[in-house]
Parts: sequence; C-alpha cells; structure tokens
Amino acid sequence: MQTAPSEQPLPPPHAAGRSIAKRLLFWFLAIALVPCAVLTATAARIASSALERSVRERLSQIAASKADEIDAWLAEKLVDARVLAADPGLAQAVPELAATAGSAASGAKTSVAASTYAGFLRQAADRFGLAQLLVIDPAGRVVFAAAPGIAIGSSMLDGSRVPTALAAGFDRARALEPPSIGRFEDVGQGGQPIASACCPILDEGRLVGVLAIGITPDRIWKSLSDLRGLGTSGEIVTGELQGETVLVTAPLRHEPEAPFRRRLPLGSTRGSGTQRAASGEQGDGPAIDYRGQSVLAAWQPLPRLGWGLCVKQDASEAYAPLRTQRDALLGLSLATILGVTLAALALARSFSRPIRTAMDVARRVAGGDLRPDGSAAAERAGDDETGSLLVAIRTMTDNLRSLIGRIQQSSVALISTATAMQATSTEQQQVIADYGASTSEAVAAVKEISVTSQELLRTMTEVNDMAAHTGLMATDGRSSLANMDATMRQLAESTSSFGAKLSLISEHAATINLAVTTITKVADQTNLLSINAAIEAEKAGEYGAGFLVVAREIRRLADQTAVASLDIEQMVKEMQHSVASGVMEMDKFAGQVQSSVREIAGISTKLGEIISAVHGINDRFGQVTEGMRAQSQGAAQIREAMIRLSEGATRTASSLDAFNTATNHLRAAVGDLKEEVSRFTI
Amino acid sequence: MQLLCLTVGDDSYAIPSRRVVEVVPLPTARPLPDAPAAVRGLFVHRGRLTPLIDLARLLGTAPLRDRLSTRVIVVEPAGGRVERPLRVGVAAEGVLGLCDDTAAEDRMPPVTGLAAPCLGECLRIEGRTIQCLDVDRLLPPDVWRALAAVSTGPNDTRPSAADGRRA
Repeated sequence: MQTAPSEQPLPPPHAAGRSIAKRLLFWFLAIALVPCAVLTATAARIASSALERSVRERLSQIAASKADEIDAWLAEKLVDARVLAADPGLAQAVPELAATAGSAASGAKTSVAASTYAGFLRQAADRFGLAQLLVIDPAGRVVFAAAPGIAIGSSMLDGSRVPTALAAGFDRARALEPPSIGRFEDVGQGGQPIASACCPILDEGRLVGVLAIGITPDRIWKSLSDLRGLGTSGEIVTGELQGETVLVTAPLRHEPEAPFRRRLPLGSTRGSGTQRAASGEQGDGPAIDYRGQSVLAAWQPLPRLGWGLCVKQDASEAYAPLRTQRDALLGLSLATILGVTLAALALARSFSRPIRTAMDVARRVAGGDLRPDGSAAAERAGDDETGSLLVAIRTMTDNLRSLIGRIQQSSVALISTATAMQATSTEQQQVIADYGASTSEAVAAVKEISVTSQELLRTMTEVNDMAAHTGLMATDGRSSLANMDATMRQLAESTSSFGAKLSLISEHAATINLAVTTITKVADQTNLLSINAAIEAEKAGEYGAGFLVVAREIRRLADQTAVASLDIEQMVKEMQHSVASGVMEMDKFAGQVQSSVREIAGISTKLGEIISAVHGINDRFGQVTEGMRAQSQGAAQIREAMIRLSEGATRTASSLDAFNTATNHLRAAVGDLKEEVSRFTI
Repeated sequence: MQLLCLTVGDDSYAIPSRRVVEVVPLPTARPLPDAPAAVRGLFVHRGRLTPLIDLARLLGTAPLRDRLSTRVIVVEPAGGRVERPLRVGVAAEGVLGLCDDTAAEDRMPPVTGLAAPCLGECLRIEGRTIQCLDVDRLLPPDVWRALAAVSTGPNDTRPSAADGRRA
C-alpha cells in the first residue's frame, strides 16, 4: 500500500540510447561484413589459383621453347656432320691424310693433296662453328685435327689419352650407326668442355674413316642466358645425371662459375626441379632451387644431350600479383567497415533521441507530477512510432490523474467498511472455538477405531501366513511323495528281476534233478551188476572168492552213491521248494509294492487338491486382509482429515485474529493512502 | 552156502545163489490172461520167453510195489531139460545182497503142512530174520508144470499148456 515512485530504480538517461546504438552497430556490421568477407575470400581464392596456373603455364612454355631451340641447333650440327662425312672428296682424302699423318710422325714431307684437303676441313670447321673436327682412320688413329687438344696420331683404342665419350662415339660410327651427340667432357686443353658426334666416312659402301665434330656449350649457354619473360629472379638451370649427383651444365645467375663444377646430390632438398628434370621427368610446380630458395618451377628433359632443363622463378616474384590483389581486397574491406560503422552510429542516434524524450516524461510522472505537459515533445517527434509513444504517454497521464481523484474519494468509504468487518470477525472467532472442541472429540473416537482395525489386520496377516505355511508344507509333502513313488517303482522293478532270477535258479535245480536221477540210475545198475557178479563168483566156488570181494566192494560203493544221490535229490527238492516259496513271496511283495505305488499316487493327488485349496484360502485371506488394510487406512485417513479439520479450525481462529489485525492495518493503510494521494497535484 | 537176500514188503527172503542165473531190473511183462494171480506174465530174458512170478502175490502180502529197486531174479528150478533148462523170473521189491548161511545165529527147519510149500527154513543172520525160499516149489505143481512146458521150448505141445491152465 506504499507509493514510492522516487525509489524505483531507473536507468540513467543515456543508458538506453547507448545500448540501442551499440546493438544497431553490431547488427549492421554483422549483416554487412559476413557476406562481404565470404565474397572476398572466395574471389581471392579463385583469382589466386588462376594467377598461379598462368605463371606455371608461362614457365612451362619457356622451358619447352628453350628445349626446342637447343634441340634444333643440335640437330643442325648433326646434319652438318653428315654432310661433311658424305663429301666424296673426304673419302678419297682419308688415305692421303693417313699417309700424311704417318709421315708427319716420321718427319717426312706433307703431300699437296693432303694439305689442300686439310685446309678445306679447317674452313668447314670454322664455317659451321665447330670447336673441333677430327678425321680418324678405321684403325682408330687420328689422322686430322682441326683444332689443337687431340694429337694427330693418337689412337682411339688405347683408351687413355682420348676422351671416353669420343672413343665411344668412334666405336658406334665404326659400326655404321647414325651419329649422335655425346657427353660434354674436358678435352684436356684447359678450355671449355666439348661434346662430340661421330659419323662414318664411306667410300662405295666401304668404311674408310670416321669424321668427328666437337661442339662447345657456348651456343647452348647463350640460348639459356636469354632470360626474357622471367623477371628479375627467374633463371634456367640445366643438369646432367651422373651417378648419385646432378652436374650443373650451364652458368647460373648467381654462380657464373658453376657449369661442370657444381654438383647437386640426388635426393637432397636443394635443386629439386633440376633433379627431376635430370631424372627425365616433365612437369611444373613449387620447388626448392640450388640456393635453398622457395621457387615456382617447370622442368623437362633434354633427351639429345641427356640433360634436364629447369625454368624457375623465385616464389616471391612469381606470387607478387597475388599479394597486390590481397592488399587491394583488404583495403576495400576496411573502407566498407568504416562506412558501415558511421552509418550505424548515425541511425542509432536518430532512434534513441525520441525514446529519451519519452523517458523524461515517464520520469516526471513517476515523480508525481501529473500536470498536463509533453504535448510539445509529441509534436516535435512527428507522427512516426516514437511520436505515437509520446501521445500514448500523455493519454496515460490523463487517465492516471482521473484515477487518483477517484481513489481519494473511495478511501473514505473504505475506512468505514473496515470497522464493520472487524466487528463481524470477532463474532465468528467465538463460533470457531466451539467447532474446534467438537472436532477434537471426533478425532479421539476415530483413533480408537483405527487402532482396533490395525490389530484385526495384524491377526489376519498371521492367519494368512499360517495358511501359506500350510500350503508350503503340503507342497513339500507332495514332492517327497513323488520321490517315494519313484523309489517304489524302482523297488517293483528290482522285485520282478529278483523273481526272474529265482525262476532261473528253479530251472537249474530241475537240471540238477535230472543229473541226480541219472546218477541214481547208474548206481542202481552198478548195484545190479555187483549182485550178479557176486552170484557168478559164488558159482565159481573157490576161484570166485577174490572176485566176490570185489563185487561186494562195488556193491558198497553203488549203495553209497545211491545214498548220496538220494541226499542230493532231497536237498535239491528242498531248494526247489524254497525257491518256489520265494517266488511266491516275491510275487506277493511285488503286488504290495504296486498297490503302494497306487496309494502314493492317490495321496499325491489328494495333497495337490489340498495345496490348491490352501492357495484358494490364501487368495481369499489376501482379499480379507486387503479389505482390512483398506479399512484401517480409511480410518487413518479419517483421523488425519479430522486432525486437519481441527487444525483448520485453529488456523481459522488464528486467521480471524490475523484478519482482525489486517482490518486494523487496512484502516491505517487507507488513512495512509488518503495522505499519499493527496500528494499528487492534479 | 551163499544165499541171495531179497525183500518183499518189510520182510526178507533168501534164494540159494547157486540157483540164480541173473538179477535184472523189472522188465515189461506181457500178461497171460486168465492165469493165476501170482503169474504176472511173460518177459524176454536173454532172447527167451520166460514166465514172471510176482513174489508178493505169491506170498499173499500187498501187491508188488513198482520201484526203482524192484528186481527180477531169474532162477533155474529143477524140471527143465539139460540143453534147455527151465528158467523163471521172480519179481522182488529189492535185493539186499549175498549172505552166508553158515553165519546164521539161529535157524528153524521148514514148517511143512502149515504154510506154503515154497517156504524153506528160517534163518537169523545179523539181527535179521530171513525166510529161505524153495525155488522148485514156488508154484503149485500143475501151474509149475504148465509153466515148465511153456518155458522149455518148442518141443512141448500147446495142449499141455492148456491142461496146466485148466488145472
């Protein structure tokens, strides 16, 4: 009931404006810069890949044109050699030259024809720009040399004084193979290395000698030193694969003394483009040059010389256009960011100004000043959204003014109502106190019911447990009976097998009986025999006396046998009798066992019935118990409800007290309200 | 003199062993119809038809019990021919064996006139009373003759046998 507009926390006047400005700035930048950045990055990537491709193509083209140029020149030199060798005059002059060479060695005079032809050959060498021109006879002896370095008369075959490539070329030419350029090698005259090509000299299809020409690498170096289109750092490197190293064969831009001296080990990081070219590969791409610099290179082999050619340009120079492009893009992006930021700031300010005006008005209203004002601000703001806001604030102020007036009138009426309410609540308090006493009595009664029903429930639970126990015992009994049944069945089986064995004994006894009968018959016969023997002995008189004794003895034995067999017969009979009675007993026992089995089955069935009956009782007891439990719970619930009711009554009484107090407060508050409202200036 | 002791019922009897041909088990006898009760029939002994006399019937005791120990003593009574002596089988319930009449402790001469003519003297040997039998007088003379006629072979005539039966 307090009105404290001055205590409500309001943000400082500039906070709202700044926050809007910040957010606007952030979103402007986000919307403008993200697509801009994506576009710039994509464009930069496409442009840089196109640029790199064009630089690499340019390098490849230069490499190809240089290789073609060198190749064409070498082919031209080979044609020269063929033309010279095919000159018919040379074929005829070779023997002359040989003779001259021989005579020169021995200090004789040179023939005129030989010297004439030697002059022609020197001229030809000069005209064709050859460093050396040799004529060699089929035996390998040098018979003419246009330039010093190789002595006339030295042999191709001794393999020590003559360069090996020249000797190899001579061998090929002697085998009438087409001429080819050999390796560049030092001829030992301190000058440049010389490569040679040998061509057979034929006279009517017969080999009369070999013409060898020597060329210096000057012409090739000149071609390679033309670095047009390669900028300030580009150069062309040639190399020859020799074992595990690549020999540089042309002057380098940074190492003029390199040719035929500088070696690049194969597999090292330095000079990777040259290594690939010397290995016969063709291609282009980033590489490391002989100085360890990162370069962009194109490489290709020079098959006619066995060299590799690598055109390269430093990566910094090759990629310079890429850098320029990147810088331009970066500048553009920065300009965009600056423009967007400025625009966002201006826009934010235009938004925040009218809002601040509205805030000022609201603050004044909060301070209690409800006098009509702010129309000037609304007109100034125009008729956009912020203008509408200011108009709405003015309307609100008007409404608030009329409301405050009405509150001042109503507060008087409220005070009188509060007094009446207090009187009524005092009466109600008395009634509640009576109600509370009755409720307590009811609670005590319900509690007794609850206790009784719980005892009943416990008893029921015990009964139930006993029934369950009975059921378990019956189940145990049934399983024991099942075991007993099995045992009885086994017993019945054993009994029958025992009976069978007894029958077997009986059969054996019958067999024994037969045997005994036979023995008896034999004994009888023997008896008869002995009597007859005795009679005969008697008839024989004195002579039969001895025989008579024997006969008597036989008779005695027969009698004993008869007696023994009688005994056996008797025993067997007794045994048979016993067995028969045993069989009978066993049969009787088996019958008893069978009847026991049947009785057990009957008992088992009855036990099963008892178990199911007990289970049924269990269920029913369970239902009863459940009912009792429900009843007990019901009683408990009733008690709880009654207690709650009692508590409710108590609480109602205290609430009524509180209500009384509140009414007093209300009255005081309405008084305060009246005072507060009077604070507003309408 | 050696005697062959035999039993009929509970009593012992004896026959002089000299007159005994052989002791054999009870054979199957073919009955002679209408013959005296003591003549049991005819049986075959050593290939000869021989009359069989039931000693129990003859002595008037209970009929002969057919037992395993029942024996037929084949005897040779006087009256036959030398080349074919008369033989008669006497069936007794048992044969005890031979005994010597010189070992008799006491003896009584035959009672003539009172008893059957076949009974000889009575001996007491080893605590047993033994009645000796006269082999030649086992049957009445006419029966005996008839039997002798039957038993002595084909030389005799059928009418004489019929005469014996008639007597």
